[in-house]
Amino acid sequence: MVRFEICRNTGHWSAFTEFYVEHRHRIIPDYKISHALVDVKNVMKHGRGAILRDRTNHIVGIGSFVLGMEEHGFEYKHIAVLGNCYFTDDYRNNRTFIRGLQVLAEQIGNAASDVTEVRIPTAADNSYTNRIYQKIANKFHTFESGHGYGLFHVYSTSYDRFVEFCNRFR
Amino acid sequence: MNQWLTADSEAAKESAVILLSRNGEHLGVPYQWSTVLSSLLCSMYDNGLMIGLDSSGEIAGVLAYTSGTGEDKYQDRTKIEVHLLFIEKRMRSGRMLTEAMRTLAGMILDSPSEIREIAFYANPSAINRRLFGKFAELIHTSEHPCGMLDYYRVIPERLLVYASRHSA
Repeated sequence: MVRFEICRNTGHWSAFTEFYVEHRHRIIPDYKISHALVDVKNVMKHGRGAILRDRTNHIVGIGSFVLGMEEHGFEYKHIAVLGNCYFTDDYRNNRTFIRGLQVLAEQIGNAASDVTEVRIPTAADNSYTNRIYQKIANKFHTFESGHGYGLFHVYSTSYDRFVEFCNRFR
Repeated sequence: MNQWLTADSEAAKESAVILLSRNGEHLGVPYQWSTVLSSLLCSMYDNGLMIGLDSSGEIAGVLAYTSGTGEDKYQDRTKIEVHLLFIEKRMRSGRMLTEAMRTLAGMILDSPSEIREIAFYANPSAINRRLFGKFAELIHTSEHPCGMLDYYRVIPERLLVYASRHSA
């Protein structure tokens, strides 16, 4: 059994940071620590984060989103952008993943009632995430990272369709 | 023997962030985690992130400083501000703290930069005032978003003398 905790205090956020920093290369190869710290700061300021714990209280995953687009100074708050979500190998099953998406969908709706769109960026060469996100959303565009991390795909769907997809598995 | 060095590699920076994250609730700072992250990012940018290693080479402390101080919004680059100093509990009774001071002061005096002053903020507690008053000058106490803070300054020469005397 796993449980999700929404980050609310220093204990949660420092645990979120530790897990993200330790696993960042599995999400984006050679991802710089400074970029990971900026990501956490952005989630704290403009969105929400969650940690996933196993039955022994160890953290086995994280998920997050921001409202608004980073490249536009976090304007366009009607767009929720998912952050770098990651589960350890033992918890990379569909059930846990869908449960994580359900938590994020709830939190997005709770954070802002006027969200209309969900965007999901992911490294183009990450076959695991691309395979999953293709089931949820349509590929919106592809861009070259400005920091030498290669190509990224951005998937997009309406918030209503995102919620509907998550609810299918309840 | 303890050793402090600049965290100039990704691995060293990672070890600093992991140590601070594992002790996130026990850093003894009055501000939020997002401010700790900002301090780390600024110190990385200014090459002011240092790690302290114990005698077996394991990380046991982190010191983060930036060029300039919050007093003038980081304009005067002849000063540095120490934002954060954390030493693991197991190492606090030893010479880790004075070794951090000695290394920082020595590094500044050996460098070609024009740094003339080291500044830092601290909670205005009696314990802090007794400790920091031994080597630094309390300039003022003022209100910040996180509450009241004392502002101290010390010249690197004085810090080096104090630290060398106490780490010998």
